Amino acid sequence: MAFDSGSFEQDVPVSVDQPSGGDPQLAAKWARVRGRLQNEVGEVEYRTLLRQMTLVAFDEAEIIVQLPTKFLRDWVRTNYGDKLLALWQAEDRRIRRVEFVVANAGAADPAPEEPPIAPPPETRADASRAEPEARPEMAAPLEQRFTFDNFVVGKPNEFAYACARRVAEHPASAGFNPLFLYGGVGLGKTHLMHAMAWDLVSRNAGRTVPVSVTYMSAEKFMYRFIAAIRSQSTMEFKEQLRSVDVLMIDDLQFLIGKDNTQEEFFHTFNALVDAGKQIVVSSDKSPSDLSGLEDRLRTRLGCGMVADVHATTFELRISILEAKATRAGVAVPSKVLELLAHKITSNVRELEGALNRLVAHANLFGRPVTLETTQEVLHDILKAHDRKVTIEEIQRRVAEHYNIRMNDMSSARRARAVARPRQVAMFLAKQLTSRSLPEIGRKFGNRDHTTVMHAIGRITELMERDASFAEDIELLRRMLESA
Amino acid sequence: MKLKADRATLIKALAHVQSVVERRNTIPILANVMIAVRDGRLTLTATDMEIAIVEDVAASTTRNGACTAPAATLYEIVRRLPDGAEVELDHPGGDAQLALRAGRYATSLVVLPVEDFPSMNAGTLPHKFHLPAVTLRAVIDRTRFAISTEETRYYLNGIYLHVAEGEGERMLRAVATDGHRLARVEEPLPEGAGAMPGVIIPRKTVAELRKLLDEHSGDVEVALSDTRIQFHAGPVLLTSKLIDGTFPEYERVIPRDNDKVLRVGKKDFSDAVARVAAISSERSRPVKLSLARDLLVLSASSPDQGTASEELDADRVKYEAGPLEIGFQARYLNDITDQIKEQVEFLFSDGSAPTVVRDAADSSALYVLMPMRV
Amino acid sequence: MSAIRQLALPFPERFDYAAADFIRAPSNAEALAWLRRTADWPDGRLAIWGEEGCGKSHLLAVWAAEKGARPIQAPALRGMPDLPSGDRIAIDDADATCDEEALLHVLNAAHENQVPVLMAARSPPSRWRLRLPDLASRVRAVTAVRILPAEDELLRLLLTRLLAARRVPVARSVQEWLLLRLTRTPAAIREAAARLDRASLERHRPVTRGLAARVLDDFESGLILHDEETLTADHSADSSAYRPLL
Repeated sequence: MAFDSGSFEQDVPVSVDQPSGGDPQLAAKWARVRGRLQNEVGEVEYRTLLRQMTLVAFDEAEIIVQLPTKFLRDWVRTNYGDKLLALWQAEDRRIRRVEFVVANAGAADPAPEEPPIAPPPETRADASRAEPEARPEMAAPLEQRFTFDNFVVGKPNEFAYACARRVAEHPASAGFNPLFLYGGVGLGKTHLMHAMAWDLVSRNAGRTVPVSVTYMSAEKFMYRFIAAIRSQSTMEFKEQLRSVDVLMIDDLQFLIGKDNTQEEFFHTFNALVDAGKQIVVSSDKSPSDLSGLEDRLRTRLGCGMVADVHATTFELRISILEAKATRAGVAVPSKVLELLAHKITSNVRELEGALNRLVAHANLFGRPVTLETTQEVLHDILKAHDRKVTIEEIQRRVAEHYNIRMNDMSSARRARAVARPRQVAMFLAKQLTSRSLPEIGRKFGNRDHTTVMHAIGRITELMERDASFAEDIELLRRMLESA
Repeated sequence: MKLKADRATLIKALAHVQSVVERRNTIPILANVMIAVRDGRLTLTATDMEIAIVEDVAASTTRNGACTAPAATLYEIVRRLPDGAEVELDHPGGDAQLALRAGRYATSLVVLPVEDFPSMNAGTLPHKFHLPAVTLRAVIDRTRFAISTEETRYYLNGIYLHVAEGEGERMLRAVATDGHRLARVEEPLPEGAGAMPGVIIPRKTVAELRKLLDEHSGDVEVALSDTRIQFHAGPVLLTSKLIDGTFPEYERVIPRDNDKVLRVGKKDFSDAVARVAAISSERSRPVKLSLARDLLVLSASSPDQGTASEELDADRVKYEAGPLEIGFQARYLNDITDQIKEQVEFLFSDGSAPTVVRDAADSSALYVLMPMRV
Repeated sequence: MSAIRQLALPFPERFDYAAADFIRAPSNAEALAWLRRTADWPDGRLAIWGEEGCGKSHLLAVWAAEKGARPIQAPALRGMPDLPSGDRIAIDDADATCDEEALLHVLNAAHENQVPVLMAARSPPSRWRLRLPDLASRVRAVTAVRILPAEDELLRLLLTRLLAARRVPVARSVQEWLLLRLTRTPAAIREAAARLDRASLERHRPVTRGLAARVLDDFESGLILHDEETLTADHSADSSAYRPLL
């Protein structure tokens, strides 16, 4: 990819403009002027900043050039105004001035609208599955992929899974109300709750009176409650909530410290349980550990079934990744799965996030998932921090590698045996640090920056000619980066 | 082309047009003035490609036609003719020379073809409004001193004329800055200016216009587009290109919260500045202002010439904020106080922050001055 | 030089963040590729990260403008912002949020409304220091794409661009002279442009080699931000350091 500028939606065409009306030779002259300018300023700068010039008018002794933005206009005028005038005068002596104008704002085509990130659930292909009773104001939409089928069961979560299935099959049965799921973030509690909702609703087909299910996060519960207070519609809010058969509240820990909302939740809870309705709650801690929640609420939360979701094991992580990769239809080498399962132990959300990134990257750039691309793409999560390399470290490493003394890096000795390693170290200092060349020179016995430039040129040349030398340098670079 | 005109009438018009002509000129025809007679009307035109000035001159004409002749030479000749002389200009056409006769004096001047004389195309000027000459004069005088002369920042080499939201009301605003100081003048928005774009009027145009305004009272018609501006003052039509650039976001450098207020008589202050600064040998002539309650001490020093100071006390200054020391260039202080009638009001923040200066009795002009770091 | 010096009015740097003004380079090619494909962002979220001055905010602004997204400055985010559904979200300085619950709320709301969220930050999401576990786990799952350290050529264009944005004309030869001597980071280039602007405005002089040398001397005599250690930013192409410079 070259240096370039312009809208990133599409490539800006190199304008082969033909000014309207007039001099048929004008386009040819303009092409020559641009060609000469490109020769003078170089390809990169031309492509980046100058190629967006358009010749818009030829007015007596004046040429008018248009640029897409005010910035580019000012820039081209300041840096190239005189040059362009001289080049034009070489074409046509009558020309006295080159003017620069900005294209009318808003003339550009609007960017094509992208589809939404995921089609809304009701348009999804799986029509056999009914959407839970529509309560747009109350419930949060359910994630399509969070079904029991997609839930990977292992030792750490099998008890919670069994409880969830049981409640989905027989809501509000004794001993299971409320169902309290707890565990660290991102371990699958939300997945289980959504799966229960899907399952409950899918059984509605055979029922005369359908079961209504409402799922929402505690955050949303609070948000709705506050909104209801503001709009003085708390009664409707309460009625809506208390009319459901199954109420699921995710991330209950969010209510800690929010006393009014807790109070409201407590009343809703009691009303529903008393009416024989099922409640499912999730949290990051067990009811007894939820300090900051009212005691009477904690007691009630703990009097049904409490199931914990444990941190994942390596085996479970591997199974999750395998299942997910299969669903995504992407071939992921087992070495990659092992790397991920080994490195990302915190939770399932992050584990899946990492795999998603790999898959998306592979699709976007048309490259297969390999151990190498994985390390590249997930660099930021696989490594806790990046190293910064100092010039001294580079000098030490290179000196060790070539078996010369550290002070030869700054000595005046010019024997090849020390001069070449010194050049290598300078080359790496340029690659791995952001020091300026004069600074690098100073660190090598106060050498001039032209010496550093020469060294870089020399090493680059040698690397091109000699593959084993290039490999050697690459090895050094990696060592320095991962040290 | 043939005509007769009063020397006095002619010299006045020639003075206007020749001042536009650049002294050092690489394009010969730009050193010329175009003299044209058409249907009994004589016009003189000069241009430097950036500015064109066209002036109607009262004359008795006997033949239509036009030619161009060296402006400076023509001006020098006419200037030296005796008062009250009648000048005859006669050009038979083509390459023939222009004959000038006055009494017993006669000369003939080499001409250049009229066809080669660049015409300045003003294009359409969609925005038109009128300003009294006295208003325009005041706007220019209170801003032009702050115009930058540093050429690389060309966008500062003029007065930025634009419409701005003043105190809840839309105003016509003129701003100039050289990066050290800034002058902002507001006038009620004249009819017809409401939709005008912000334009930067070049320094030279401002100077030429200002000269014309000395001789003109009544209204000036201003017409502009985003590339050209035109001033019609009596018999003179001045057309100019505008500076094609972006004026800085000057609002951002005008302090809003300066709360240390100093009031001092204009004459007391500027005289003291001049006396104190006289000691300084540096080009910038720094003057230090030391403020305490109702006391202003101005001081300056020079390593080779010594020190000077002058006190202005409660009789002459009013200052209630805490002690403050701040330094300014004497010239910058005087440029501003020159525009203030009686009472000067300074609003300070601290010794290194922009300072606001105003005429205590006139809120239409505001000046911002950057101090020196001592 | 006299010790007494005229100060200049503090004119702001002027940035319009127009799409046409963004400089594409190999170092930002991957970020651009992701930005062009909003529909492919896993979970509808993307974070672009890179060193100070690398063009994140510019990209964010261009994306927001093209997609009609709502721009949010994370440090200013508080409480429960009302987010009209359907609004795409572009969060700048996302790693500098003061109210983590507010950020969580924004992410959740966008997810619920099924609209994409773009974030820009100096460090990758996996390294943001977050206290809220719910936010941290969501953020760590976000696809992160890095803007790599700027190539020499990009730095060269950047200097030109920053000078042009301040509208200070500087001869090409002086720019080259500076580029050779400045630390090779966008932040150092930006600081140099600001100092050159100020120095030339204070003196009413164009930026010459001599003036540039004086400005550079100030840099090195420790008047500023770049001390020995912070200068060493890792500069390799695929696994290198992010080091904030200020």
